[in-house]
Amino acid sequence: METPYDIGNIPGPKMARVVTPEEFVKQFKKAKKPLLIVGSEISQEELRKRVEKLIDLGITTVATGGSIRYFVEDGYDEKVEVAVLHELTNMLLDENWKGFDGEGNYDFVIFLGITYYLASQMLSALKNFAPHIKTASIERYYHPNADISFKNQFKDEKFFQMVDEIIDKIGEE
Amino acid sequence: MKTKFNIEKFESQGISLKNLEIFIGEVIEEEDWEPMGPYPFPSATDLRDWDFKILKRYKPFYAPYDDTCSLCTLGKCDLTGNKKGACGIDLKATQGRIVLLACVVGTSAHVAHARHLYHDIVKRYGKDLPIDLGSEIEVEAPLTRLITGIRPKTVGDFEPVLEYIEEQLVQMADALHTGQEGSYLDFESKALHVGMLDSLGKEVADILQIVAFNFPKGDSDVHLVEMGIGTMSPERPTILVIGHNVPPALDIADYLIENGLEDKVDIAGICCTSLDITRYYPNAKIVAALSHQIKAIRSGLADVIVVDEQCIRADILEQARRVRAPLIATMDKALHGLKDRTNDDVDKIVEDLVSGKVDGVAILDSEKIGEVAVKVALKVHESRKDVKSLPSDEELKELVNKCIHCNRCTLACPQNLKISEANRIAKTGDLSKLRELYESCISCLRCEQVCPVNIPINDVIMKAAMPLIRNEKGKVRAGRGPIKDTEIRNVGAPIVLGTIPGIIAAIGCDNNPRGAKDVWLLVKEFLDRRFIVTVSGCAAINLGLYKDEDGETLYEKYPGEFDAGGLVNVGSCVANAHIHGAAIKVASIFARRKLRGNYDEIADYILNRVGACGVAWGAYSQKAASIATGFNRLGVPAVVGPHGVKYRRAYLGRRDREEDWTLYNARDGSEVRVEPAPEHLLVAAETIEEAIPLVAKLCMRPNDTPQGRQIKLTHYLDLSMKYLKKYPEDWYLFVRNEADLPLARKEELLKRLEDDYGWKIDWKTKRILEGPIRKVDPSFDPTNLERLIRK
Amino acid sequence: MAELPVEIGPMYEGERIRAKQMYVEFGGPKAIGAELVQARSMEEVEDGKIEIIGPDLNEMEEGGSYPLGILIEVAGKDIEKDLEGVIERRIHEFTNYIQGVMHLNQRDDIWIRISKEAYGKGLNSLKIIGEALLRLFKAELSFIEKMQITFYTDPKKVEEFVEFARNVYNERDARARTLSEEDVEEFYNCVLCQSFAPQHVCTITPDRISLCGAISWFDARAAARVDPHGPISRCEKGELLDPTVYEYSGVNEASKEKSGGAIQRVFLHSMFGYPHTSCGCFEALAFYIPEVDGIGIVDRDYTGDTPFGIPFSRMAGQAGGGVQVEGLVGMAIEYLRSPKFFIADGGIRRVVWMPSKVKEEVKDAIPEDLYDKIATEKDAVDLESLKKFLQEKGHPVVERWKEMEEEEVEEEIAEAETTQIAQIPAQVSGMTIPLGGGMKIILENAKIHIDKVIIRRKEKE
Repeated sequence: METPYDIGNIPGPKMARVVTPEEFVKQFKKAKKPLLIVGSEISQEELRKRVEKLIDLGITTVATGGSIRYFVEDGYDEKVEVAVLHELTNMLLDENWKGFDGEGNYDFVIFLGITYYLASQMLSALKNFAPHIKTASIERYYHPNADISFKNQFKDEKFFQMVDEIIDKIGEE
Repeated sequence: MKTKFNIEKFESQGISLKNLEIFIGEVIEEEDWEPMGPYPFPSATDLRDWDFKILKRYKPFYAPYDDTCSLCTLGKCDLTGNKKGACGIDLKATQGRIVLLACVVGTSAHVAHARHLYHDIVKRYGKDLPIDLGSEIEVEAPLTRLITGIRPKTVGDFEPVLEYIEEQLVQMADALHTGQEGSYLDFESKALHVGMLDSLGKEVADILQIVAFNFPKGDSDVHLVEMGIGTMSPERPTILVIGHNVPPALDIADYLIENGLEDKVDIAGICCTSLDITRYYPNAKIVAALSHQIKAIRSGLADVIVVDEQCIRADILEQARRVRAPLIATMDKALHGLKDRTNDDVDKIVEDLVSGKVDGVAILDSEKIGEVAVKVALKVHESRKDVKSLPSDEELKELVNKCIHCNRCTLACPQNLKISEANRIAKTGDLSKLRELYESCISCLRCEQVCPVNIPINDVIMKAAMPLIRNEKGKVRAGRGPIKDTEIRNVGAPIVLGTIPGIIAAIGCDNNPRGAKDVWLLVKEFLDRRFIVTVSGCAAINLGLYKDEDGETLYEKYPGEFDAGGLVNVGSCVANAHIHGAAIKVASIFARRKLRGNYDEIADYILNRVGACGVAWGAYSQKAASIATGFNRLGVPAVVGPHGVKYRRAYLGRRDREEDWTLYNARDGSEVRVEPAPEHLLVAAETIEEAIPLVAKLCMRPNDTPQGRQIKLTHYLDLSMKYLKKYPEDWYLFVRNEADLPLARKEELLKRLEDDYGWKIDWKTKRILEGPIRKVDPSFDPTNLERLIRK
Repeated sequence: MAELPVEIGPMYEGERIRAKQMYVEFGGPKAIGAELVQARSMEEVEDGKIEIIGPDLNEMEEGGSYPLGILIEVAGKDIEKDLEGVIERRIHEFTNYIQGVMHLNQRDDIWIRISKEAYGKGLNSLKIIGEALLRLFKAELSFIEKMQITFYTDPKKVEEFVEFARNVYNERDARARTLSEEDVEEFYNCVLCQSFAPQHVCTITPDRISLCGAISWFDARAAARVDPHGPISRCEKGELLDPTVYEYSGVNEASKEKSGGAIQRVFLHSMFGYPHTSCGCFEALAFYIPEVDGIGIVDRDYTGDTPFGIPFSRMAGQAGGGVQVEGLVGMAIEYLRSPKFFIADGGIRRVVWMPSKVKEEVKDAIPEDLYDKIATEKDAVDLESLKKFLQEKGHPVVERWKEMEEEEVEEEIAEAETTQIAQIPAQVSGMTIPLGGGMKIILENAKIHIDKVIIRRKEKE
């Protein structure tokens, strides 16, 4: 069992299954309506450029935590949605939420680049009160509250490799 | 007053009395200051309707921190996925229960503090000590008047108020027991009730200390106080006071004054005790907020440490021992295993502490503490000169080189600081990364405990940050206490006209995600925009740490008045009650709403009219939970930082649900659909850049005049542009007609309304023809309460 | 519209530009300056034109102080001469909206500074300031159809301009002073304060400025033009029902409607009967002192005691909230200058007490022979010494005392549901048990056990 990134953060019997990029992509492809949520840590350019590749692949992406300003600088602001993560999670909990496109809620939500403990709590809310949604963390942190999660990565290079692998695999079609 | 009298025989016109015995248990002379409203001394159920009204719009949002429950022996129960435990409670209700528990604990801290002060003050000055806050304050205790219906004239008048709170608290604590409450909404209603009690308890505590110790009574130009670790002097004996209950520190100050030792011994404080001692003794220094407790001790500059109550490190004795500073515990709540020496001879206690025979003592009589602390400080100062606190340059190198980069520290760090990474770079001789950690590190010491090679990581970070620490010298304006009635009147017209766009209350602890500078940035931003900013507690302390381009702290730059661009430090945590008080006074002064026993009407008034927003960016404690919940019940929204989600519950509105946003017009009872203002009662943001526009948004209210809305919207849009580089998604919801639009961008925004939102614009007259949720109706009298409908 | 090199908005209003941050300054202590708005006919104004007569910013020396005249000419079918002053006063606010520009004072007393930072960003011409002003004025005051701005910086031209402007100010002031309720057809109602005090309705006439002192009849007129359905709206004067107290049928109707029926009648210039309501932001309070049969005035900046032995804050707690309170009426300090100041009650000659600061401020409005007879906090903060003072000085109200004693008439107080009588806090009086005839109470060997007796004063309706 992987150690939660914040070591005491053991929520209960249900903890995320650790997945490889390949397994993640498999799950992703099963989803009907995925949503990528990114947060303040995409201020790191190497990470942001990778997110932008995911956006270019057509994944609906929401900038939270004030990260929209980086997308504005990169000219990506028209391609992303903006929300406060707390508000967004609250809407995701509502099965009847109309979504950003007005056509309904999402079924697979991916967290990336969000302050660890904030993301952990939002994943907990989704785990416990949103049975209609599967959650995935492709963070450099192991997130026990997600359904599936990468394991902890302390080195940037390795983490970016995993994200790159995702980009490649999703783009393969 | 009990009375008994007998009448044997009495005959008069129309009355004949024989052997009449009259016993009167109590005679209360009720004053005619205001007719009594519907809810004096409300029980939890009295205001349940109000709670359910706000809970309907601001639904509790739960993020469990633990999916299990282990409160009774039926467990441990797995509640994952909102399952029910053995007792029948589901996960949602469990979260509500934990929120209530946090509020009960937090409120108990404030109320026990108030009760302790009450005993102390009655003992010293008697029950008849008058409550006089000066000629400019007529509404002396707004919360007490509002909640209990009492207008306190003397200290003794608070007795029934405290009794009421204590009784209610026990009732609410009872509801926590297994097999009691089962509905999350009822847990929330109780938590709101407890939050209200918290606000009341704080008011009692602060008014008591203001009148008993002659603290400032709402003066806007109170003195400035020195602050920062950098102001602690190695040359002079220093007594470090930590906690929230000021009498022991007062006794130390009195002893220094009586013995002419003000220049010989320093009092330095941490947390609210430091804020309160400086309201009395301007020579005292505020060392730092809570997160610097370990830093201040490990600096080795404190010769004696005196703790009272709340927010004290549980391992304080061990930490004090490490720097050979004798410890004095002064409150029954936090004894730290020390022997009670209250009845011992002063010189004997001093001798034992100075000789090192004991590490510390407990003294529960504040009148002895001053003498002991000062005498010990004077004696140990010399002998402590050889105390080795932080590592030398050479040792630092060695310590850093010991690191094996196992990352256990990083996994242990609640701030997720990349300590191992910083060490790696430090090995090359570059300390900059380690130094960067200083600002965000809260010195919790979790890292030190897991380090397999025993690096004192806190000290390593401190050593690397020495240049920063030496410069930690700032100024804080001492806590002024209440807001004057006359100040409320003065800001009336500017608030109506929008030139004061809102009132921001930056309060709470300093568990900040990336240091306190973020709070400084937020406060400065709103001060520059002519908002009124009130501060208290650790947030107030931390503001003193930073200087602008002119080398001035915000306290030096901005006036202390409750006015546009004024920075008002009310004081310690309990002084927060004056911020509630200011909002309540708006209702009583402008609308002449009756306060007495009339909580829901006033909360309704505040929610719909008073553009105030709390910011508790670094909230960590249970007290912060009860404080925020108390603001929420009164209709004041609050924004917390990302750690705030660990409180498990938020109150979030949904702007996309039209049905949630209707109000009555009290004039005729008609239902009016309104804009989502304020959208939330409690919400967390991830970064300060996200929080600043959010706070500006939460200052909007349905009653805004066009002038007011125009300026509020201007700030919302401008702050979004400044910090997020983009207009917010929801700005158009707040536009009622063209007069609401920011002047400098009017045409551009009209165009956007037409293009992006399909509104109809008459370009010739530049008027909006179609689109808004509603039109401006100057006579709209918004309310959520049926009983206030006049027709 | 072209982007300006600096930002514009209310967030720059509080901006202070100190000497060391300043690029140049205009007016102030070192140079002359003035600003003026003139209403013109449609043909006379070329919309959007900005002219600079004399050197522009980029031709000035850094750190210098220069003279400046700002002439704004406006035209529109709803624009009249009376609106000039209103438009002119917005120059201060709008200039301050410009990042890096500080504007102090008004008229021929202006002091403007441009910051080095703003100059560096490209604010190197007065044209840019003109551009910003044009944009803001036209966005805010929709009745301005055409607007042109002339900046005078040539010292000689400025001198002529200031001279001219001063004449205009004088004429304008003279008109404002003489304009009275009789000269106009309509008044204005302001319900801005209803956002906080839902029943309050301010009636603004040429003789009665709003209670907060911020909105004159001229201001209200301009605001009502911009947004006829906004919080400031036209109020028909109607018929003068009672020329003593100034009760107008139009004011009654408008107040009734705008207060949702709470207010039925208003006596504009009397403290009794149906006085004007009070909001919460009134600058001062007028209070009737029965013991001397005179009127006291206390403003909110005065922190000491009034002759009642209580301070403003305590007294103000009894007014406000859009309620009519006899003998306690909120007002602007400026109202003391009105020739109709509580004229029904004897006007300024009935005033017996006011804080010394206020007395000094309105010195020009107090008849010379009365000035020394009005007490201040220096003379009396209790009723006894006030009485003594008035007697010694021979204040006109002393005459009334004699009449009072002779006639011993009980003061008649109009009965009205919405009218409250000011109560100056007194001690609780004794309890009386009314017993009607024909009833007998007999209690024998009785025990009465009472847990709690609450003594409550009877509510006054």
